[in-house]
Amino acid sequence: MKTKHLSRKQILLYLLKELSHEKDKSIEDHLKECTLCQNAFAEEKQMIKMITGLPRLEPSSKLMERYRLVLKSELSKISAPGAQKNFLSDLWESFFYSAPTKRFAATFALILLGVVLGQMLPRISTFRQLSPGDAVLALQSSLEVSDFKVIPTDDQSDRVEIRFNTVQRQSIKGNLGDPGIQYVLSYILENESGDDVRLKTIQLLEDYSQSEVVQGALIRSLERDTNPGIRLKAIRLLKSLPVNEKIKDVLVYALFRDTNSGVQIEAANALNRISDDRVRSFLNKKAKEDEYTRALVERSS
Amino acid sequence: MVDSIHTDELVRQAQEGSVEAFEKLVRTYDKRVLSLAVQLVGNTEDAKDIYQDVFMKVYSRLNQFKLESQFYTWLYRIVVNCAISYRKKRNRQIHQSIDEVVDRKGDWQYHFPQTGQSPERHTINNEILEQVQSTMDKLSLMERVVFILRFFEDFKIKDISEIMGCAEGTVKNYLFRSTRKMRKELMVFIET
Repeated sequence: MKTKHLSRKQILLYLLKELSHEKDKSIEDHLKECTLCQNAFAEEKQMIKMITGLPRLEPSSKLMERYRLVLKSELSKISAPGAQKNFLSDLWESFFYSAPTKRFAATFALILLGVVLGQMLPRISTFRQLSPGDAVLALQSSLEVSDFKVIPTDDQSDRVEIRFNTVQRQSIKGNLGDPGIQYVLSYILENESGDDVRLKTIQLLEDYSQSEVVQGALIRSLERDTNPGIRLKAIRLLKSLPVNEKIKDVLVYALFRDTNSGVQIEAANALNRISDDRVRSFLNKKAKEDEYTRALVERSS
Repeated sequence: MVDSIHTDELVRQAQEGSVEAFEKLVRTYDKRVLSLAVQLVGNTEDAKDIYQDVFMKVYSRLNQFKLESQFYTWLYRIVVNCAISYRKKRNRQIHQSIDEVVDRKGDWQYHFPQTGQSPERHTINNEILEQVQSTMDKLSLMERVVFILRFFEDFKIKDISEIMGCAEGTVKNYLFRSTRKMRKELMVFIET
C-alpha cells in the first residue's frame, strides 16, 4: 500500500528515537517500499552520525582541580545552604509544612495583625509640626499636599490637619477659623496641582468665604483655575457674599471669558441678582449673543 | 546519567549544610557543566566564568530546589540560563578555533566519542568539526542550545523542554530548524 512520503522531521525524530513504537513501525514499513524516502533517510542518518561522532572538547583533570580550588575559595565567602536558614526562613518553612488548619489560623492572625497595624499606623506616625508661615514657605518651595484630615471633636468640628508630601513628614494643624490656616488653605487652593486637593480645599473653605484672604483666593480661582468644577464652586461661594467691585468684575469676566457654558450660566445667574447699571449693561450685551442670558434678562425685566 | 538516588542524598545533605556533600555534588557534575558551557558560549574564558557562576548560584539557591524534580535538570537549566545571559552580554560571539582551544598546557583536549578511528578519519572529522562550529555560530541562540543539548549532551526532547522551560513542540521546532541549516552546510560531506 502506497502511503504519503515521510517528512524530514519524521525521519529525524525516528533516528533520534523520539517516536512511539507504532510510529516507528509505520516509518519502517514505509521505508521498505519507498526509495525516495530511503535516500532522505540515508542522508539524515549520515548527518546525525557525523555530528554525534565529532570529538568533544573536554577539560583536563588538572584544569578541573584548579577550577574546583578557586570555586571552593569563593564558596567559603558565602554561608552554606543549611546555615542560611534563619528564624524567618524556619518560620516560613514551618508555615508551609504545617497542617491546613494551622496555616489558615496563621494566615488569619497575620491579616488581623495587618489590619490592626494599618489602623494604628496613622496615629503613631510622627509629623513635624509647621507654623502657617513655614507651611506657606514650604509650599512655595514646591512641597505637595498629600492629605487633608478634618479632625472632628465635640467642641471643635472645624479642626483640620494638612499633611505634606515630603521625605520628612510635615503637617500643620489648626482651626479653620484661624487666619493662618485660612492663608495656607487659600494658598493651596490657588497653587496646588492636584484637582482633588483643590476641590477638597474649596469645600473646607465654604464657611469661611467672608474672610478677605479666602475671598481673594476664590476670585483668583474663578479667573484661573483649570477645573470648571472648582470655578463653579467659587462662583457659588462668591455670590453668597456681600457684593463688591472685585466680585462684580470677576463675575463679568466669567460671563464673557469662561470657556465652560455651565460656569457662564452660573455667572449670569449671580450677576442677575445684582442691581447695578454697569452689570445690567453687561448682561444686555451678553443677551444679544446668548439665549440663556436673554431669557434671564427678559424674565427679570 | 549519574545515579539519582545517590544525587538526591547528596542534595539533601548539602541542603542541611554539609559542605562535603556539596563538594561531592560539584565533583559529580562540574566536568559536564564546564563542557556544556564551553559548547554553549564557544570559548573557554566565558565557560570558566559560567562554571563559577553556576555553582555559586546552585550553592546559594540549593534550599529552593525541591527533590520532586531531577537535580541535573535544575542544574542544567542554571547553566543554560547563565550561558544565554553571557552570550547576550557579548555583542558578538567570541569563537575560538580548535588550535586556540587545544593549547600547549593541555587544559582542553578533544576526545572522540568513538574509538578506533583512523588518523585520516580524524582529519575529516576536524573539517566537519570546523564546519559544524561555524554553522552553529549562525544559529539563533535557542536553536544552538537545543542542538547542543540534543546532539552533544544526548538529552531527550522531553528533558530539553524541562531544562529550557518551554513546550516540547517548541524544542522540536528549534531542533528542526537547526538540523535543516546544518544539513545544508554538511551536504558536501554526505555521501549520496
